[in-house]
Amino acid sequence: MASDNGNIVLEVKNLVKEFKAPGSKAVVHAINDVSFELHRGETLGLIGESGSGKTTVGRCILRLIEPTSGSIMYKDMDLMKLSGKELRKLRPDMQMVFQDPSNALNPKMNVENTLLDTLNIKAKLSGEKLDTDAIIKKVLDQVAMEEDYRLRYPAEMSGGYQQRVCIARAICADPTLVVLDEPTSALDLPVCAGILDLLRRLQEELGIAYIYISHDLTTIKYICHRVAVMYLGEFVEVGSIDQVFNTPMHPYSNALMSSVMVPDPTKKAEVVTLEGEIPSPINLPQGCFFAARCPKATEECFKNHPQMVDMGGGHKVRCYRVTSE
Amino acid sequence: MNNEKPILNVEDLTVQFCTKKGTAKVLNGLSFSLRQGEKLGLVGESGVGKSVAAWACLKIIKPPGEIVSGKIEYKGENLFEKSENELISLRGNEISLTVPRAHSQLNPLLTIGRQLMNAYIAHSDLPRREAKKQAYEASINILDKVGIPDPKNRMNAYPNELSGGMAQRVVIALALINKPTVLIADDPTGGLDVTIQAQIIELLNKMVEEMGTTALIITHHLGLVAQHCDHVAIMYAGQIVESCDTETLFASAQHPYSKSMLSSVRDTGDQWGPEFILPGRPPNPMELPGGCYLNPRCPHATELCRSKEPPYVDIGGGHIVKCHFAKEGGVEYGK
Repeated sequence: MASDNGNIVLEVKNLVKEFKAPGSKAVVHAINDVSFELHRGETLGLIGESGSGKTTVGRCILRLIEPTSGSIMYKDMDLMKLSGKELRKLRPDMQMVFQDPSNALNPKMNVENTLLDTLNIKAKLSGEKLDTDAIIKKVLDQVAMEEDYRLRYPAEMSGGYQQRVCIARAICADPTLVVLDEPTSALDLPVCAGILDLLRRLQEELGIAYIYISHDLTTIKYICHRVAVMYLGEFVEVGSIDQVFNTPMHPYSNALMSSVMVPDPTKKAEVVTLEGEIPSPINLPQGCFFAARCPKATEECFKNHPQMVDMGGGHKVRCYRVTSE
Repeated sequence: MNNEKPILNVEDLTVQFCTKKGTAKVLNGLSFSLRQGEKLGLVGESGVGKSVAAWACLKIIKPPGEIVSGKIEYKGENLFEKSENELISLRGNEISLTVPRAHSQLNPLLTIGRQLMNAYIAHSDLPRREAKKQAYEASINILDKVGIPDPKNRMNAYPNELSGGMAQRVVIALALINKPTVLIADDPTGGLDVTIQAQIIELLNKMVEEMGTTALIITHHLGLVAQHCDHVAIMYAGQIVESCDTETLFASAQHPYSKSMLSSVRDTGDQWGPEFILPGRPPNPMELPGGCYLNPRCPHATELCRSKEPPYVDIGGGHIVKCHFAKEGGVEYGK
């Protein structure tokens, strides 16, 4: 339990999210039973194909969208049981950085006002007086932005700087948890590298825990400590970067890892290509969700749904073929 | 190195877009050549003119863009001297282009079968009825080849019924239906998931091998280049700044911009550390700096770099670098 270990920032248990499909009575099973914990100063990466529910998990954790069931323990509080008012008090602690920085910033607010907005809300909620000017100065310095950017509007900045403002906005409230939803996907290569280095440095300085959502495995490998592979709304494998990238167990992670094109011509990878695409989340398959595309599937896989099993050292996997061996 | 005559030879290509705000110099003396059966990767950040280069190869640049100078030789003939009719019979038939963001580029009002058949019929000399018949066969055949399940029924599907990966396959099928000699793939993996990316690239490889097609792959995905291209050309501000074979680039890139690109991929190990990253962004094509276009960002820039455009230097083995400090054997910076 979270109370036993002060190091655990977030503990999610059996999170489920269902959406009503528009125009019909069908139910979209976006998240099916996701559980994990996040420690202080740690980065957990969520990877998976589009439609696997990565973003939905990120948003449910912050209750930006209401989960259907499950529990989210933040420190000692169950976020699911909090009222809107109580939740709002916690908001400064839990921040989010969105995918496309140009859409995430208010075009009519300059950098200073964007940050002030967050700080004023924090001051109002906590009742303490904040030296906003000093904080803005410090935060801009932390995200490596020059002082003269303070009065600029989003349209006057490049994508890289816009993303820096988004990160500055997230960290200025001194959060313990930041959910990063594909923070680099809209950026060019060298800019992306700069943002990754920045995130890493901030984590070392401030001890923030990150949940990093991305389908770019190379950046995940660079920035995360632990990683969870998602498939059709559930985790199929969780482990440290080393475990999942070097010795993937689940056939899906295996295929995913082998399809990474390594930027080194001397290492020609043996690619395990998967046939087909991710199934529809409306009609979930009866057995293992991956069975139809799995090269190792047997009859058992089509009949029963496998459970997450710890294979030692925190390396968990959801697959009959691995766990029964 | 290879003295074989190149199949597509681009020389000193200059393309400008005249707009109200000024003249955007998008391509500034671009030169590269493609040899029979090779795969060339054209790499650069967004906005360096990669796609415009692809359009120029088919001469499909529309006003306000114009090709100011240079020539493109396809099998020894200058494309710019050909009539529009000759070009039409070339486009999609001998030189084809696959476009990025496949979904938005397919015609949403026509079934994919109709689009494929149109592409085939346009280049067929047969009477219409027979051409149609053949086109139908050819379309099913190519859909099957690009790995679309149940091609006969899928012929009647509209683009919105396809997923991103499937749409990209259809775009590739469209480009390959007439068995082109040169395939220009513009960002074939953009916006796709890793597993789908692997499928698409495997498909491109297979097609290139089976049909003996020569491919120009335009991308900013260095992993793709490392794994699948024979040669690489790095582009900056409408010029090639470095070109060599893939192994050489990843082992010993010489141009500061190439080094910066390599070091931005955080998986290339210790060799390309963050110290190579250049500050700033590519220049606005309306306000290009004088001399070497990289000089405002380059830590080694001297007075010479600011005043004079650097020459192309072969530093050995066909490894070409556009830098004042390049000489036989490598790049040595002076004071």
